[in-house]
Amino acid sequence: MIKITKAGWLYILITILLGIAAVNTGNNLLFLIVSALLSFMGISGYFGKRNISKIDIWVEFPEEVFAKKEFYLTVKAINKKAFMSMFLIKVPINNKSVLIPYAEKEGEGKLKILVDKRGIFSIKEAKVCSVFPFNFFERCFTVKVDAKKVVFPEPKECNLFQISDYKFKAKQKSEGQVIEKQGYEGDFLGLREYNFGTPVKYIDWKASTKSENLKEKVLSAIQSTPTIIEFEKINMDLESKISCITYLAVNHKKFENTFVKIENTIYNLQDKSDRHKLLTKLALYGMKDEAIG
Amino acid sequence: MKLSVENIVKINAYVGSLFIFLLIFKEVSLAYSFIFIALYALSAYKDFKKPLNINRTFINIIGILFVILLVLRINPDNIVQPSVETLLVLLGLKLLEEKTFRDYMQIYLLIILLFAGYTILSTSMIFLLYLLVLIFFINASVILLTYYQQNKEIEVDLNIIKRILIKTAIIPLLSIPFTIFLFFTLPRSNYPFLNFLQGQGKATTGFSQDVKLGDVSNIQEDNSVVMRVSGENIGEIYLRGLTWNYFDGKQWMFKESFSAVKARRLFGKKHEYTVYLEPHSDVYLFTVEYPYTISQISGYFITPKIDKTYVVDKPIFNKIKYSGISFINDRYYEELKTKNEYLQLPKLNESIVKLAKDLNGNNEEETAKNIEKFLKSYTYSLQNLSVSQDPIYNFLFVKKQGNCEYFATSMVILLRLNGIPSRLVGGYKTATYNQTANYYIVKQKDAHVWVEAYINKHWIRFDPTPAVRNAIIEREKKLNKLKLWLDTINYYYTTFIVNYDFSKQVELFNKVKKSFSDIKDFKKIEFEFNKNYLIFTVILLLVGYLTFLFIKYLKQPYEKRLLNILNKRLKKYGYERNENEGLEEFISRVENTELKQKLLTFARELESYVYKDKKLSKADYERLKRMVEKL
Repeated sequence: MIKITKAGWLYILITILLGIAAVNTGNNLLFLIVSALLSFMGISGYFGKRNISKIDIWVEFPEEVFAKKEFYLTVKAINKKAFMSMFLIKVPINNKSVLIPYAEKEGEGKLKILVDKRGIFSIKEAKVCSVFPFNFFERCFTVKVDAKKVVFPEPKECNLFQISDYKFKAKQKSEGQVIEKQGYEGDFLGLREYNFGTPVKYIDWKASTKSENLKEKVLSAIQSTPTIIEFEKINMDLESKISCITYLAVNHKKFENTFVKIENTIYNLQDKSDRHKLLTKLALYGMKDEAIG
Repeated sequence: MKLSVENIVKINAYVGSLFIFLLIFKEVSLAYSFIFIALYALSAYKDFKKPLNINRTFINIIGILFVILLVLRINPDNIVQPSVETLLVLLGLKLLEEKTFRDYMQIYLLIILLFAGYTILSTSMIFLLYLLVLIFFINASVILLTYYQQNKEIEVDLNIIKRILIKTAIIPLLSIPFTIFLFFTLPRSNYPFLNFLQGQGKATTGFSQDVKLGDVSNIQEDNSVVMRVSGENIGEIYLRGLTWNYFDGKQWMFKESFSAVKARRLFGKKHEYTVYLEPHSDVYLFTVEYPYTISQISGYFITPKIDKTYVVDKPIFNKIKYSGISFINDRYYEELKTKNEYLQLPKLNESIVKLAKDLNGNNEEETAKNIEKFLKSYTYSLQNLSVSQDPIYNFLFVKKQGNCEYFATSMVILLRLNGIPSRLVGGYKTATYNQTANYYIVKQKDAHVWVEAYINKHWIRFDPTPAVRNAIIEREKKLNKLKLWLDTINYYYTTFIVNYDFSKQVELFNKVKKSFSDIKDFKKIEFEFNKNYLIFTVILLLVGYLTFLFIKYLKQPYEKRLLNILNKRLKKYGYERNENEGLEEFISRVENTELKQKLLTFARELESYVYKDKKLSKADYERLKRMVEKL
C-alpha cells in the first residue's frame, strides 16, 4: 500500500513545473535539475520499499495483562536484510504506533495499550509503515505476527465477606485495607453480644455485669481457618463475580488461606501457578475460545 | 550526545539559504540583497538568540506585497532576475516565520527554485559542483526533516545521526547515474518558445558597435573564455567578428553601406570547425577567416553581412554552438561597386599626411607593406595609452606606444591617405590550442583588431601590431597543466551538457539503435565473446563471490566465528553438531574425557560473555581462538 503525502504532491508538482520550464527554455541545466528530481523520486521509492521489506515484527506482552488496565506492549522489529538498516519504522497497533528511528538488526519500541474485555487478545498481523526517506510517500505492508495473550479480567474491589455470611470484621488501617480475621487464640479485639454456640470460656463476665446482656470477648485468629470460595455459589452477576475473584487473586497477600473453587477445581491463591491458572480460567470463563482484539 | 533533530533541521535551513544566496548574490540587485541579509540576520537572532513574536499574517502580507511588486516590475526582457529576487525575499520571510514541518519543506523548495533560477542566469561549469553539493545537502536535510515530521521532539544520538546520514548518502550517489541517463533521454523540443528567458544574467561584454580608441584594451585584460573553436590545429587563427569603416578621429563606427558586392570568391585551404560561444550579450558571431558558410543556430536567425561577418537577430545570452566552413588565407577576392566608404578620413594633422606620403611604395601592395613594417617598429603596450584630442597623432609622433587599436587605426589612416580603400576588423587572434580535446581556447585577452586593405580586387589582411603582443600572449599561453585540464573539462561540459539539444538527442538515439541492430549479428558476437571474455568474466565473478564471502565473514560476530571454528575442528574428530543443539549438550556427547574437559572450559568461557551480554573484544576473540586451535 502506498499513500502520497502532501509534501510528495508538492514535490511532484515542482518536478512537473520545472520539467515544463526545462522543455520550453531548452535550458540543459534545468534539465539536469529535473533529471535529478526525477531520479531522486525513483531511487527514494526503491529505498522506501526496500526499507520496509524483510522485517519481522515480534510483540512481547508483560507477564500479566488485565482488562481496562493500561500496559506496555514491547514491539520488536527484526531486520532480515543483509545490507540495509531500518530507518523510521512505524508499527501501528490499536490506533497507536511505535516509531523505531533507526536500527541495524533489531529495534524495539513500547506502546501503551488498553484492552477493554477479558479473554484472548490476539494480534494476528501488524503493519510495517515508513515514510522513509523523504516523507513523500507513506508505504505500508502487513506482516504476520500471531501473538496471543490471555487478558485477565479487570480486578474490582468488593467485600465478598460481608455479602456472604462469614463473620469477619473489616478494619481500616492507614496503609490500606487489612482484614483481621477473628478466631479464638489471638489478641483481644473487642466485645460483642454473646452468640449462642460460643464456648462459655469466652464470656467476659466483668463486662456482662455492667450491662444487662451477656458479652463475649472477640479475639483475633492466629492462624485463620481455610476459606474456600465457591465461585458458582456467589450471588452476584457473572462479570462482577469474575472481577471480584480477580481482585482476590491480585491482592492475594491479604487473603491468606483462601481458596477458590470453580468447576470442581480448587485453586490456592497463594500458589503462583494456581493463581495463574485461576486467572486464566476466569479470563476465559464462559467464552469459547473467542478471540478479541 | 543526544541531538535534537529539530535544531539540526533549523540549522540546515539557514545553511542552505546562505549557500543559495551566495550563489545568486552576483545576479541580484543590491536592494534585494540587503533586504535578504536583514531578514536572514533577524531570523537568526530570533531563532537562536531571543525568541521574538512576529505575526504570521504580517509576514504573509509583506510576502504578497513583494509578489505584487514583482508583477509590476516584470517585462518580457527581464523576467528571471526580478523573479529570483522575489523568491529570495520570500525565502528570507519564510525563515522569519515560526517554522513547522511545512515551512521547512517550503524553505528547501525555495532553495531549489532559486537554484533553478540560477541556471537561467548563469551557465558556468561550476554549476555541476553546486548541483552535486546541493543534491547531497538537500538529501540529508530532507531525511532529517522526515524524522522531525514523524516525531517533533525526537532526539537522536550524534553517532546514530552520523550513521543515518552516511548510509542514506547512497541515495544521491545512486541517483547520479540515473540523473545522467534521464538528462540524455528526457524529451526535448526543437523549438523551445521560452528561449528568450535564457541568460538574462550579466554576460561578458565584448566588442561593441562603436569602439573608442583604447576600448579594446579593457577587454584585453580579461582572462575569461569567450569561445572554444574545435577543429584541426592550423596554427594561429583570426576570428572575424565585426568591421568598422568610419573613423571620426577618436572613435570607430560602422556606417551601413548600400554598395553591393558584384562578385566574391574564397580560396585557400578548406577548414571545418565548430564554435562554442559563451554568452556575450551582443549579436556578433565569430568565424575563422575567411568564412564560407556557417550552420543554423537553434533559437536564432542569422544574417550574413556584406563585410563577411555574421550577426544574429538578438543578443546572445546563452551558450550557443555553430559550425562553419572557412578557407584559410590572408585574402579573398571581391568586386566592389564603390570604394568611397573605405576612403573616408577625419581631419588630420599635417604630419600624418606627410608620413603617409613618405611611406608610399611602387604599388599599392608595397605601400601597404611599408606601412605595416613602419608601424611594427613601435612599442606594444596596454598601459599609458594615448587619449588626447588627437590620439593618432599622439600615438604616431609622441608616445610611440599603444595597443592593437592604435596600430590598426594608424594603418587604415595611412592606407586611406595613400588612396587605398581599407577597414578595421575586430575579433580574436589566438594560437592557444588544447591538444587533448582538439580545440582553440579563445579568451577575452585574445581580442584583437587588424586591418583589411582592398588591393587589386582583393581584401588583404594586414596586422601591423608588433609581435611583442604575441610575446606577451605567448607567455600566457604556457597555461599551466591544471588550467588546461580544467578548460578541457569545461569544453566537454559545454559540448555535452550545455549545448545538448533535440538534434543531438536524435543523433544519440540513432547511434544506440544502430549499435543494437549490430547486435543482431548475434552468432558472431557470441562467438567472439566466448573466446575472449569468458575466462575474464569467470574470474571476475569468482573474485566478486570471494569478496562477498569475506565481507559476510567479517560481518559475523566473534562468537559465531568461534563456534564455526570449533564445529569444524570437532567434525574432524567425528562429532557433528546438530542444528539447535546446545553447545554443552554437544560437548557432553564427546567421549574422550580430556578433550571434553578442555571443551567445557572453552564453552564456559564463551558463555560467560554470551549470557552476560558482554561484548567480545578482539583480544578476547584471539585468546579464545587459540584455545580452540590447541584442542
